[in-house]
Amino acid sequence: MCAPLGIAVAGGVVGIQAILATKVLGVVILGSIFVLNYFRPLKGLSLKKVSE
Amino acid sequence: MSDRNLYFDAYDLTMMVLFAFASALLNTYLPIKFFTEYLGIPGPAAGMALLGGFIFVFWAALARAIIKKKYVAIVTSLLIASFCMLIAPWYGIVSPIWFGIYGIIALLLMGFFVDLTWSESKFRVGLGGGLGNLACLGITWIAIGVHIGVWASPEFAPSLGLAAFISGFIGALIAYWVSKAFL
Repeated sequence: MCAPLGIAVAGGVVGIQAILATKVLGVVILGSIFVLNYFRPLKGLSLKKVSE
Repeated sequence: MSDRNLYFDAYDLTMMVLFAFASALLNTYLPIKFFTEYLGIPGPAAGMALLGGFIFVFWAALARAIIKKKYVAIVTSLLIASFCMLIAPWYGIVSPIWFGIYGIIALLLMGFFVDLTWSESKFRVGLGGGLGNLACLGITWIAIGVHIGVWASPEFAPSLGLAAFISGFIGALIAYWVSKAFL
């Protein structure tokens, strides 16, 4: 009885870790966009609106 | 704080965040799997192949059409990836725990194609959307195949690839037309 329980617990832990890791990824990307925008790394490439 | 020093001002960021959020909500809550299973279309990622143009490409292209700055589609696609990650793991896959990186790469490529080809030419706009959705599907297929062992069937893969291209083509074109008609 213990083995299936152990597997379930281990699976649950991995699942929670993965969900947390995914959320961290999301936050990192979101934060990076705002931080990079603040520090203007795109300034050197183009600050002009694209003429259409 | 003044917006003058920022590449994207508050309006740009608000629009991109809103469009990306709408895209992530559609991706998460539309019963896409039910839809594809009902139609008997095998996956993986059949929903992306059929509806990716509406779920992802349209929103990135619409942001690009409205804001009219370079890199808008790329940043919007990254925002879509970010919101998708915050809502749930990419395709519900939790092993490896970094599987979400594939979602980021897939959407980044999509935004890259949309940005790269954006112009006054409807064909180029559509081409970018089509290639973007196809690239997104390709990365997702490879990721699911390598880590889960589920590959697209050779019988359906070409049709799904073509569907992904057409879906992305139409999604980008609709965004183009919407921006011309209403803005």
